Amino acid sequence: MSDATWFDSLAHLMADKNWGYIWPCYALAVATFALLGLRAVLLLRRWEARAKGVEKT
Amino acid sequence: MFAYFANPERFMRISAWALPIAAALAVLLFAIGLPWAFLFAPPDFRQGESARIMFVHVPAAWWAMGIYTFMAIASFTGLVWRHALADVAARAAAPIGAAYAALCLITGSFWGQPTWGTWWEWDARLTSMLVLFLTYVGYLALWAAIEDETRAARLAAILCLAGFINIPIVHFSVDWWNSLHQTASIIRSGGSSMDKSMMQPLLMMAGAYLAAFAALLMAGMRAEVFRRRVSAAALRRARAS
Repeated sequence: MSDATWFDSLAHLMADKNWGYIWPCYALAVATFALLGLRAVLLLRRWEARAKGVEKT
Repeated sequence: MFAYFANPERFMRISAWALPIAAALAVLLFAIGLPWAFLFAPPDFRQGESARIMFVHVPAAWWAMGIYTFMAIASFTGLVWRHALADVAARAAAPIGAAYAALCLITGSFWGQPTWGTWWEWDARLTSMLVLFLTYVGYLALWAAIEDETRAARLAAILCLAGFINIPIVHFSVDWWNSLHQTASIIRSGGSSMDKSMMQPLLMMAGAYLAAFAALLMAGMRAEVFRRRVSAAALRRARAS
């Protein structure tokens, strides 16, 4: 890693002519993992609750 | 070994503690890898800052192929040894692999525009990766279309194994045909040509993608095992009444 602070690095990156191509890729990657994680949590909670309900009856 | 891991009860016991560990590891690796790749890795001497897209694009490509290979092994195991969890594992891996393939295609397109001057080209690497994504979609559609789960599992496994022929095509496409896409610079004979200042954050991101896959896979498999328990109980009730 370089010695530049994160703010310096971000300012330098935002000034680059390709900034408009770079940030959407990172935003998309974060959104993809957030959605996959949310989907997994919702599915797991839903079926775990229903399976426990079935075991009780 | 297969018999040991074929037991759903054992899987549920192991995954109950392995899932939070894998999820925590994924969060930790992303927390280090994302800022490292986005802000602190050096720009490429030819491509400049746009080469940063590599840190989200390349791990997505690697694991889109890796997950499909995992699915093919699980499908083969399910077809040959009737492994109790094989089709559960393959089915749970498919949406994650499809998301990784889509991420690879979209970020590749964003990288292609400033580098090659085009968002898309019908070139061997890009087209074979699109075929991989469509194979994932077809696999998921097949599971959704057939009500009888045993039949669905068998047909999906056959489709998965047939589609596996595309994996070496994706990997070697840049060597076999003239391509806009660069040839392999990391996984190649003669060793990596990448400097360690870029290789380290790339490997960190690849580790994060892998840990995320492990956590998402275990969550998906656990949900599927619970769903099958509910279905089995409903079937037992219907037969009893």
